[in-house]
Amino acid sequence: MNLDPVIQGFLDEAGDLLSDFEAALLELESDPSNPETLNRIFRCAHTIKGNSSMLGMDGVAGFTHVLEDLLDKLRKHEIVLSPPLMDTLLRSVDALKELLTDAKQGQFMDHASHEQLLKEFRSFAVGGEPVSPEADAPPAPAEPPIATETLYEIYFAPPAELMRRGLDPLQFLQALADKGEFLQLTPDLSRLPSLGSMEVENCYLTWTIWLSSKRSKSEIEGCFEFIGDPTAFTIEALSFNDDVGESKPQSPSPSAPKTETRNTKPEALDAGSIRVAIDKVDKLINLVGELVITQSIVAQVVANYAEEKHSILAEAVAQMDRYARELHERVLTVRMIPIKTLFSRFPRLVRDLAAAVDKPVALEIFGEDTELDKTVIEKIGDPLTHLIRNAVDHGIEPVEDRLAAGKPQSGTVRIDAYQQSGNIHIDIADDGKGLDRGKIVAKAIQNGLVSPDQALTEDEIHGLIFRPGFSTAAKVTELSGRGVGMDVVKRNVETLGGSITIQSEAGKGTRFRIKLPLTLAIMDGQALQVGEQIYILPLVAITESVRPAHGSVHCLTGGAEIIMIRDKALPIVRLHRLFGVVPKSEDPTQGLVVIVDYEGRQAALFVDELLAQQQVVIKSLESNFSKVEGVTGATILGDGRVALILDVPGLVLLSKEAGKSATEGPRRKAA
Amino acid sequence: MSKTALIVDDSTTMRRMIGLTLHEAGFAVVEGANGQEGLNRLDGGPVDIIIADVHMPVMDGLSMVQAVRHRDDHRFTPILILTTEKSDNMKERGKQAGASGWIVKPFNPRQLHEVVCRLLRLPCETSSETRRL
Repeated sequence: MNLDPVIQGFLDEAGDLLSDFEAALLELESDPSNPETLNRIFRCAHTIKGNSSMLGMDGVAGFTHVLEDLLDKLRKHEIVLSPPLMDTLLRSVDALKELLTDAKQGQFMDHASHEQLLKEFRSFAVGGEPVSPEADAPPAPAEPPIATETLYEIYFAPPAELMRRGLDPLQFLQALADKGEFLQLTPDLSRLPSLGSMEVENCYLTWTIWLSSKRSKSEIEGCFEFIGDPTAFTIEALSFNDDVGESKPQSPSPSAPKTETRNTKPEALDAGSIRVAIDKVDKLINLVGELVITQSIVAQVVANYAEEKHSILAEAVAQMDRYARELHERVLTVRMIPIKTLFSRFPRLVRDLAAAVDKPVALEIFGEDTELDKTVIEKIGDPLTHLIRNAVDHGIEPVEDRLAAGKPQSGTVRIDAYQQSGNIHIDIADDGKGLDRGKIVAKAIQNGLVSPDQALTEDEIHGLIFRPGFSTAAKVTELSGRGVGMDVVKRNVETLGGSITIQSEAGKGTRFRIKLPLTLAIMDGQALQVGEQIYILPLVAITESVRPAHGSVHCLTGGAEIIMIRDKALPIVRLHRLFGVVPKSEDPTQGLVVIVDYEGRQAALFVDELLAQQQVVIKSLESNFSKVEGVTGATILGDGRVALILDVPGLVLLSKEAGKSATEGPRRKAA
Repeated sequence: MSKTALIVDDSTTMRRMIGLTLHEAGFAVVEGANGQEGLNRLDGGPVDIIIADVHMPVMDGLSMVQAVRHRDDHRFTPILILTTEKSDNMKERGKQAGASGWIVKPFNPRQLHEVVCRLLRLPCETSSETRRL
């Protein structure tokens, strides 16, 4: 039996359960005795324990077993939820995540590294009854078969209601027959009532059986397990076989009967949803993308040829077009999941951060049901974490400063997610001291990012903190200064086709606004013509396009060209050279330059002309062909032609390298 | 004709694992994530045996067993409950509710298969290799 899908399913499920576990723990902080929440927590640990032990993940199972005991005491109010206990429980979430990661890599066995945590669990649990050793013990090894045949006399009187439990006396007799040989079977009909008063669903017969078997008495007893009534049968060994015939009396279980709890809270999360492998969805999205493209080819052909008599055809094609587009839109939403899955880790993050810097901070989350592409959600996690960390560490002032400024003692970090005009916005705002522009400029001058006499607008100053090599943290604290700067945050957001902006007011706070595309599968692009070829440039990268004036293009020693745009010198990237196509004209004044932003800098792409702006379906070159520098992917245009999607930073890099080899090789004459 | 097993458990992993075990043994499998869903499934087609967890949201296993027993078409259907408690208390409560038997988690899939066969009075062909899970 191939267990891989089961294990994968278990890991997915355990991940969800852990998130819920953590969320419930945090809810408990404000409402420590809510029985519903306590049960939820217990059930999470309970399910993980049960499943992991069945899958042989002894590390996870052992750990959750001890955890479950502790939680059981908690929900029965045998112990109280103290802050140290809360910390321990939260750490158990981290430990479990580690154990599950190990399990994912096939290491099922070890939870020794979390021994300390387990010790804490046990010491918190003290005060209640000691952990039952029996519950922990592996199943008792099967008793060795008895070498000699034993003769058992078995009396079997099935309880009257046996059949109403879906059971049947015959199956017990069959089970006995499997254990040995019936020497004699005597039914006792004395309990049978008269036909008139007989209940057809009741059992009235009893049997006495002589069974010759090599099995032990307890094994024979096992046949009657589901009877659930020790008085319904007796088993006696007739031949004497001291050790084996008389099995040890079964000791009553030392663990006290646990109270059953009924849970009536519906789990809305799972209602009516299915788990589907992401690659299935991606294949579907890809196919539908192809369909839309093929459809638009058909539509174009029909538009060109359809005359009056073909109007029915044209109409049908137009309708098909609408359906294809709607299908495409709907299929794209399949990849969308609520951002809740990501936001759920932030309460914990803020709580830990606030404790570490000793500032009271409240976190407010809005719009957690906003849906976003799964890949975007996965990749936006780190940038958001970084921004939140900054907000708590740098944004929110120490308590004294806040009180002095007449603000409430506790700072607030607010996360908002919402959809606006085809984009998803995520705002991270704090009510702290705001960005200190003077300090930012001073730092930028010190780092040589700007010159001291440069006049900067507010936005330009804010933009400085995204520049590589900039860090305002006067001291590197434990929280910030992990080698990740705001430049990485910006780059990550831009890789996703998004953008980030800052609003900040001194004394009032700072707001970072991240704008993300709804999906990575389609993109707003600008089509460019160079010679016979069409290229797509991501619309977000473009600032403007201009026809260079005579004399604005200069050639530097070494072959590099620059263009002066409003007193700024921008490097020119000649697409026709990089891609080896023949342009309409090599003279920049005969074409256009498109000014693009990349990594905080600008460059000018020289092209023949601009075509339409359009949404394009992105096809990965890497997975279909191989990675090509300067190109992020390809798309198929409405007329069936293939267009490459340009990667601006890659292009600039290529252009520089081409410039270098040009200086080394025969000098080319610049236009 | 193959027998149909209804598996009712709030854990997907558990459902999948039992499902896989019984599927390999030639059973058709239908699933429910809680007692209420389990009950709803009974209207979807014939079910020959029910395997139900005890702790479940919305409707727990014992309430479901009671409800199943009140249906005319499933008064005698074998029902196996899954429990993590070894205590007789749970077995007694299961019995009171009308469950045919119980199996204590964690269990070996082979063990489950045997019990299911026993309840349905089917010959149980277990492969010779022992599967460690």
